[in-house]
Amino acid sequence: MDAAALVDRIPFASRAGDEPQNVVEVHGVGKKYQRTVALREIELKIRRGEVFGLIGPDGSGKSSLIRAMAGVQQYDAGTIDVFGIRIDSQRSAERVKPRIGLMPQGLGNNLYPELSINENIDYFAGLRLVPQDILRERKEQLLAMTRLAEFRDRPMKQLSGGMKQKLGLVCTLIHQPELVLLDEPTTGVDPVSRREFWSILNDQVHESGMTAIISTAYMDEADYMDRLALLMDGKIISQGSEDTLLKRAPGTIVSYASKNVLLETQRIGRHHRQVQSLGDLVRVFVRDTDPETARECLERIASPDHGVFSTSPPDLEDVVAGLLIDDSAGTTPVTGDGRVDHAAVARPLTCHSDGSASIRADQLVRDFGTFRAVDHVCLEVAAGTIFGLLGSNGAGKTTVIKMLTGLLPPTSGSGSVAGAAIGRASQSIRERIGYMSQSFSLYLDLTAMENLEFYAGVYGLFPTQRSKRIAELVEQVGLQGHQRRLTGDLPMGIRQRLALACALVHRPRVIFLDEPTSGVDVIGRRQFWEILVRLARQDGVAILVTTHYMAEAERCDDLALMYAGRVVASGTPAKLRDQLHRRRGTPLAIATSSPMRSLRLAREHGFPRAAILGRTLRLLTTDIQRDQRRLAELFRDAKIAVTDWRHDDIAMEDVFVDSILTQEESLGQAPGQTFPAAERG
Amino acid sequence: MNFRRVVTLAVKEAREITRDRLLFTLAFLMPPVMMVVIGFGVNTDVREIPIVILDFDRTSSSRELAYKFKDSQYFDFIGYVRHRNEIQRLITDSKARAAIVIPPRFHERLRSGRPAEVQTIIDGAIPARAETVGSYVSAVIASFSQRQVTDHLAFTQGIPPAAATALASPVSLETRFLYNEAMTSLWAIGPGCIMTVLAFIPPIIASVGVVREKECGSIDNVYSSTLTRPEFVLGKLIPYVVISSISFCMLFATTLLVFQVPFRGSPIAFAVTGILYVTCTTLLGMIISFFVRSQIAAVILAVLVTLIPTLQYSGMIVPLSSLSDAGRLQARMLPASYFFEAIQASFLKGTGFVGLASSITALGIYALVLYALCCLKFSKRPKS
Amino acid sequence: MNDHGAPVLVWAWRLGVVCRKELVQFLRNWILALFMLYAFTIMAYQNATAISRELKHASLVVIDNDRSHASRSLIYRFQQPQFRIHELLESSRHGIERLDDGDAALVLDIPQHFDRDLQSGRPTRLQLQLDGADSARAYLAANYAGSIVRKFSADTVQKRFDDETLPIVQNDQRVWYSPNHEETLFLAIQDLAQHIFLFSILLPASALAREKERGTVEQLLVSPLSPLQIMLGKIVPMVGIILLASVVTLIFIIEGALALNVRGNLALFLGVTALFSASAAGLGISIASLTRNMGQVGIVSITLMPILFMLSGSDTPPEMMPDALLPIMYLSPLHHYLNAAFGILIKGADITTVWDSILYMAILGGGVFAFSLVRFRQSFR
Repeated sequence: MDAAALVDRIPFASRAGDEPQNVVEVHGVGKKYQRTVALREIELKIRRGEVFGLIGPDGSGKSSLIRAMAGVQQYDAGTIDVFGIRIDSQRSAERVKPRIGLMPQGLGNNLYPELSINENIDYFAGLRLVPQDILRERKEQLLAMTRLAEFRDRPMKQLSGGMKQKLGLVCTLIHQPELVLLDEPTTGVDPVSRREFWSILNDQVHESGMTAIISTAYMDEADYMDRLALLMDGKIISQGSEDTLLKRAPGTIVSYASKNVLLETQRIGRHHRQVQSLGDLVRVFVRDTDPETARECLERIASPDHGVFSTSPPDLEDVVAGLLIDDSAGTTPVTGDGRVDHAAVARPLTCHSDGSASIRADQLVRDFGTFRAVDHVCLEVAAGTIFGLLGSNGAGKTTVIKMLTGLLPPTSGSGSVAGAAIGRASQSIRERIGYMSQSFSLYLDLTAMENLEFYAGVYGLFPTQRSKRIAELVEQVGLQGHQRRLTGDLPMGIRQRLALACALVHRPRVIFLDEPTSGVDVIGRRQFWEILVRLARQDGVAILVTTHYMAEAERCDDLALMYAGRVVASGTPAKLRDQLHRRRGTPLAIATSSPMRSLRLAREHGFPRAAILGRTLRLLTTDIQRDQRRLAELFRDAKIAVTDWRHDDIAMEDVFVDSILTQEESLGQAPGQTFPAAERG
Repeated sequence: MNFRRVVTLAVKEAREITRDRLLFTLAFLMPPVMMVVIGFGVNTDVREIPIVILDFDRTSSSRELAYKFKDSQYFDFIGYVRHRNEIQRLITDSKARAAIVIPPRFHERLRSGRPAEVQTIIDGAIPARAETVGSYVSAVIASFSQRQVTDHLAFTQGIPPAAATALASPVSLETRFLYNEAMTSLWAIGPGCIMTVLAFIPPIIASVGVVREKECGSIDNVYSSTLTRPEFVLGKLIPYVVISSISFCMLFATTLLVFQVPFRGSPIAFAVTGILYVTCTTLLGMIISFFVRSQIAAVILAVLVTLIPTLQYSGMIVPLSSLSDAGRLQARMLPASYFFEAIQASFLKGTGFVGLASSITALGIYALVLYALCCLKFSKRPKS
Repeated sequence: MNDHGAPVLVWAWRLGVVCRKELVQFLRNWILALFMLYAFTIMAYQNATAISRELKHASLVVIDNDRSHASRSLIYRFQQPQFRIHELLESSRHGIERLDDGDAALVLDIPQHFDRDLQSGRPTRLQLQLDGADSARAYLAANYAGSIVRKFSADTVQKRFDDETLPIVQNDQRVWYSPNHEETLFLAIQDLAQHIFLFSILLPASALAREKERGTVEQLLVSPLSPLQIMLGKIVPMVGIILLASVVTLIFIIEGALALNVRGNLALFLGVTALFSASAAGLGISIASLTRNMGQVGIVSITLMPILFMLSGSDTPPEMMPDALLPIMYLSPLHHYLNAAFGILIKGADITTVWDSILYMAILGGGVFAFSLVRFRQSFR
């Protein structure tokens, strides 16, 4: 790297002549790990200067592909060319490494916990031989941009999830690579940090002419990408721009309220394969692009007591789910999602809520040294309901669950689970609790069946009952065909269903699920939630679940948003949305020719909470007419073309982002700069 | 080889080690503590051997023999026993290591100038010790016997005792131990502890360091960077060698100050050998961690490869010359045997660079071979 | 869920399930299992045969200033396998050089007129110089040389007074349990004990450390399993595996490949081994409960193990130990186990003799187990 590279923000113009236009060309690539196939027949061409997304379920081969392209892992078949150099040996891989940057999967996994921000950056720069003067300049620039500058001497282990991930990005960009490969950089990060991350990345990519390949599990992030490829089982199912993908599974979303959501979803599921229940709403993906026809189609089959039908175009998540279902039809049995479980409906409710099967936390506090991880948290979960605890990594969700399950004594406060005070649960009480911890409480070196048998035995089931109960569970969560496989070889979605089955083996009255769907694909998440809903509604189980997917928040009966150890908002999803609407108005989505500049403008002119969501600027307004006029003037003066104005409904993400920003303001901190995330067990 | 990258890696590694409190404390505190415990605890001398006597004679002669054992610093006379079964019981229970059976009419035979025979029973469960115990017992009896012969000759031949002594023991042996005149066991064991302790502390710290980076995924930074394989191995190696070299100096000081072992050789030559030795053992730990994937396997392998063989094959407890061919081969596969030669030569014999040349060469080659192996084994583009 | 069967039955069943899981996991990690098999077979064989603590091939340099019949017959007595005559020299100056170089272990100096003095009844003096830097060897060599010279001297006296009887006290020495100073059985048992100790500490410790690292231990703590069951679940299967491995060593290596005769009651030996393994496992569990990850477990155990090995009493008997270190020795289950194992296998002792070792081990094992139980409860409650 020479000094000129910094000055010349588009350093490859001179080289463009002798190099192919495609930065990466992948042709017929395959890869196997012992018995499992990770990649097959991959064909990809990634153009210079584009942001290319890889989306797909966990275990679909995204990581293997990224690692193969970065030259840090061998592949078995086909060819990969990066900058026109064939990556087929350690030696040739070395030739492209100076020009690429890789950020591997896992939040902060490639950083050194004991080292400070400064020391981490210096290490990466040293490995890349960035000259001292350039390093100094570039470090300041990146730290300022990520707003990490004032924390430069803080050890990495004391950073929040969002800060870790920004530091990871800084370290990856410190040597100004021409190609960056980011493997699920936003998994496990709160929405505010995710938005910030993308705006930094977009800045870098668009201003320096860098190429980026990014994998993600969040479908809404497809907005930020120029083109994307959808992977499933090691194959690319579809690739192109987001619109191309949307066109692959055309249809309409019809949603309506229903008295008995559970029965209704099962009924509709006989005709349409993508049915979800959201609280008391039923949401159906009808494979018909005309809203009127779609509405009529549902009117014929919906139960007579249905509410008002509303239609909307499907979002990418719906489309991807549709594509995945089409692809997997006939290969893997899909249960749960929409299939009528006659046995479950017909089965008499074996356990009724007896009032004691609930969770209560009263002013729970937990300190780790001087750091307060949980600050006076109160919550209550009744039998038969799903309670969602939202918050980013390090907000204190896990600590709350650990205190409730008795794994961690609270510093002060009290609570009860299934009728017993926390931490004092006798053996009989513990037999009524199910717990699925964050890291998936499975033994990876045991088979699925062995895991189930183990937990069944631990909960005192003797062989005869055990095999009956396990057969039941295998059917209930859809594990058929996977029983004999090693848990470590299972895809994440299956694994998490197995973990749920293990937590359910003893028919608990209370279930704690700590980020059960982290890293799981769309279908997996939807199927998982169908199971949860059935458990709550049919069996009257009290469920406490944590998540950082806002889409899942919609499916809970009650919510609490945690931030820096405190509950900053709580209530039913409808109530939370309603509150925000009354306080801040409705969202306005503006598509402009230059999202970053328009964001800056909006922030400077009275919309401090404006944000970029994909290519659109999003802000809340109480007076749409007035604000639209003001913004239109602003953009006209700045010569920014506005292509679309759209009024949107309030999403849970808006609620969450607004609550966090309010908190940050009241704490007097710069937004995004939060707290040390020193959760430990 | 780009030294900036090597230094960057080494500095990062050093920072990580120094901030892991437990690891850091153990790395510096444990070696001297272990050294003191082992140094004072391991003792190849045999002294105060518990002994019992079964005296069927009960005369002045038998008492005189018993007194010789009581008087000796090598024996701890437990008492007389009455029956043979008692000897059996005491030896089986390790309460006594040796027993002397004095036959009836012992005194009578000796007085009349006839030879007498005592039976000695040695506990052979620990053979090496049995041999020493046996030879000490023999020595006491031989000296008693000689005394009897001398007295007898003086009496029958009517010559002065001095002349009788000359007749009774025509050949005497004057034993001189060079380099360690008093045969202080600590002088031999103490310096050996430097070798023992440094045989397993560096490998375990180094292998834990490498496996940790592998397990938490930060090794990807190395894979995706332009750091070359020799640079990686060197950068990882340096901080651990520096730590172990500091340990080496502390242990060296412990030997001189706590154990009071004289050092007669060239300190610089010895330090060079020591640093080469810890380089070898550190590399041994690194290569273990390149071969295995899980930490548990790394730890068990490190113990099996370094700990047990070093105790047995390095020459500290068992003389190298006593090993079988296979054993000697195994000993030569460990760096410890070369370093132990250097220890013996430097501390008590006082050789300088020239005397240590062979050790230094052997360890140097050893380190280079391991370094090359590490570089070959480490792949920046692994299969999975 | 389980209002069936007696509580004891349910308790045992749960423990059984936990143990079974541990066994399956151990067998899945086949590299480790293979490794253990290697340690208990090939390595055990090798260590029993490769080393010897006796004097062997000590290289001897003789400076024969007399070169007579008598001197030759004395030299002739320094025989293989204890001694190997390296060189015959004529000047004592070079002798020291050989010692300095490390070529020679000892130098024997035979004076001039050795033969003549012997004939004439004048006392004569041999000089032996040994390399004291190698103290283990020097001690052995000095003892051997001493007894050879004593024998030579006694024979000379006997020859001189050929027709007379002399009041010589003969030493009829018997070495029990190992008449030929055969070391193999001793080494095999010592090695077996060390391997049992090593694996008994590391296997349960790593099993617990792994559960802590992966977070599965929380799942167990939330379940109706008691801490006692969780810990027994780690100890019992490992002790079983180690016991099996010990039987393999005993049958296939000690009695099979090495063809050694073992005395004593094997059932008693296995019982003592199980107790030893369990108390070492308790030690391992307490290490795991004090540390946070596998790396720390490794470092703590690797600093502890050599100390306990060295202070086990098989290299240095308790009577030679400094008083300050005796407590460490008595706190090491290895010391008591070696006492019992040597007693049973070599001396054929029965329970009436080794009961004290058994008692010590039980107390020690119970102590560390109780400690780790308390510690385990504290760290999670």
